[in-house]
Amino acid sequence: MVQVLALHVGIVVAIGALLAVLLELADRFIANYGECRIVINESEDKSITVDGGGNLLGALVDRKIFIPSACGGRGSCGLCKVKVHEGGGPLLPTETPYLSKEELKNNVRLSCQVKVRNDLRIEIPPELFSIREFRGKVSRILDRTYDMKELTIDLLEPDSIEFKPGQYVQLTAPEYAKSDQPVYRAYSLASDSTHRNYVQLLIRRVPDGICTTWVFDYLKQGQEVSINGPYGDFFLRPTDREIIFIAGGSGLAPIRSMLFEMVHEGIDRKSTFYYGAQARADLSYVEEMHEFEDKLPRFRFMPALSNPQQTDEWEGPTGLITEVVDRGDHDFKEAEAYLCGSPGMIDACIKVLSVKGMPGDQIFYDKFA
Amino acid sequence: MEIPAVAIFFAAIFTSNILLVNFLGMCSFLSISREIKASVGLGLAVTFVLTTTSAIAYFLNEYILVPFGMEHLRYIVFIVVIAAFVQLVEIVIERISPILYINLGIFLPLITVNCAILGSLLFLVIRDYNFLQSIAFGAGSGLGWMLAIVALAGIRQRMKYSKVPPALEGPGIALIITGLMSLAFVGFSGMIPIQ
Amino acid sequence: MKQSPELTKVQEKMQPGKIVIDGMLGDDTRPLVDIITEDRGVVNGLGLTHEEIADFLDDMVEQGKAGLGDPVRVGDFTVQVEHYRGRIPCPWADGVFPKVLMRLVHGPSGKRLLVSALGLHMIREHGFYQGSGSDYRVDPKIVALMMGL
Repeated sequence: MVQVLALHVGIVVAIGALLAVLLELADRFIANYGECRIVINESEDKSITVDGGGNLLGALVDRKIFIPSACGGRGSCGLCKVKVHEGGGPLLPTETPYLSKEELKNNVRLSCQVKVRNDLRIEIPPELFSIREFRGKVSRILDRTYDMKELTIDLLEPDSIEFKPGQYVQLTAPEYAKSDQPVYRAYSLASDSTHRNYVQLLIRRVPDGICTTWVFDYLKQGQEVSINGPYGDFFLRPTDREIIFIAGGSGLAPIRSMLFEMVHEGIDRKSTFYYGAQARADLSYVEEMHEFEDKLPRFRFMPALSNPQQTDEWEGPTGLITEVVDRGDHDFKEAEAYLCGSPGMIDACIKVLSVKGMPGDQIFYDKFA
Repeated sequence: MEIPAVAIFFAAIFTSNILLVNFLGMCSFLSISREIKASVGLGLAVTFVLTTTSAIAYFLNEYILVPFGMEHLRYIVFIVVIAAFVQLVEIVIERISPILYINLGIFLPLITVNCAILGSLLFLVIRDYNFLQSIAFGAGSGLGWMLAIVALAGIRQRMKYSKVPPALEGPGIALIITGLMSLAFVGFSGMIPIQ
Repeated sequence: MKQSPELTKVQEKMQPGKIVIDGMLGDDTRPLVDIITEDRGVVNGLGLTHEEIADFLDDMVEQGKAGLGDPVRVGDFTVQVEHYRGRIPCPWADGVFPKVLMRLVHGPSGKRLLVSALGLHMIREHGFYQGSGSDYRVDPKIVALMMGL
């Protein structure tokens, strides 16, 4: 009886094993895509050879070419756009919601959805080559206002970063109690770019934000974090023009970085920083701005409150930032403006500046979009 | 059984259609039949799986299960074989047509539990078909299933501009249409005796 | 009601931590299809459509933008529209939306609503008003009251 049972079980197991071998062979020969060459920007030395089968985003990131992505390759953020001229395979329904007609015409694809099965020819913005991933340690978390924190991150590996004041990095919020996958969020660099071993970020709490909830409620001093960058083309232009800075909320970050640059480079241009907030509780860095005024004789800090409280005892300018800029005494036709904040604020300010005669190519902004 | 394999083949497609006459394999039938291209793709996949597993089921039954007195383990063995072949089909489809692979989605691995497949295998064992008859029956059943799903997809395509009572939209009207198709096909039954 | 696999995937993305920290379903544990069906019934009962509700809220957002982040008075309402960096995807995978948040307060009744750009899109295109218990739930009855119906 037992022998018969054993025999039967043995036979079933043997059949199963045979099928497993069959599938293994199929996987090895059919699902194996071999080595694929990805030619980047038509340049031989920028090209890479990878094992086929994975997606394009993963292949590039593995070789330290950091394509921006907020969702980590899950096809839900639409940021990982890359031009694929050859070899990308058919357009997938998971990509179409994120691509405009213009982009489709230009062969733009979502790199996290493009599977590497054969040789590819792709095109990516050259700036992406200088992006690195950094491992760092949080050395200080400072409360600047009730909803804004200043994060100082000491860089461990690599231990130094080169960036232009005005650029931003992406911070990785890892899996934690409230989120089971890592996410990536962009924050402007607020620190002095000549201090290459650490960076500072200004992080304002976003209601229900996955990353800011982690930063505000879970992140501790001494914890290790991961950032990548630098990204962005918002930076101080090397002209002699008067500078008008306008920012709100955490938009102060890149301006602060630019002010450090002005001190170090001895840039002696007339500059005014219009900073909009609601009440005194929303103001920060006032002391530091006064120090900048001491170090840069032609710099003035102009905070404006739109809704000062009685207890604020505010004597400075009041009203919306657009109104305050409008009242300013500047040669708008000859000046340059650097704006950082919400799209609404920026659009409104651009309107004011244009009406005052500032040409469009003298207005620079980081729209937080 | 002396019925010519060719007769069985045609019977399996038309007069004893596995879906419209025997009511097996309805699940993915209802979902994928919204689109003709996907229906054809799934139909071909099912046909391939059915044909190959019929052949294997015949061999396993004839040379291993019966000689060793293991008929009671038939269900397990057949399911394992079906599962393996569906996996194989998945790998091949992903290689050949990634769009079809994504469009079929979960319904590709669901072929494994498509009762039309297990049902056909059990039919050929119960009816004691020989090798040629088994393959004919498997291929025919697969094509018959494909015929049914493509026909329904075509009808649903036409129906896009029809006024369907809101409560019947989707599965409701699909089942009614399937019922009507069945009535037509059941009318064929008995024309070609295959068991 | 049995839910299609597509909606189940959508409901998965609405869970806490996937797109927003507390999720979009609040305390409601019912299948998504039931939540949407019930709200549709309420909206129809009020004699409204999803588009009309979305249009009303959209209009409020546009008027609120003039405040550049500060509260503005629009008739009986106080509207505050804030904008945060980045964009978030819709669970239905049909687009990404800026993080625009509107706080709408109806003076006479004191009723308040918190509406996001993504939430507005989901109302208009998918008839989804978020689960009860969620801070961002837009109760159709409250909107009807605000619209003066």
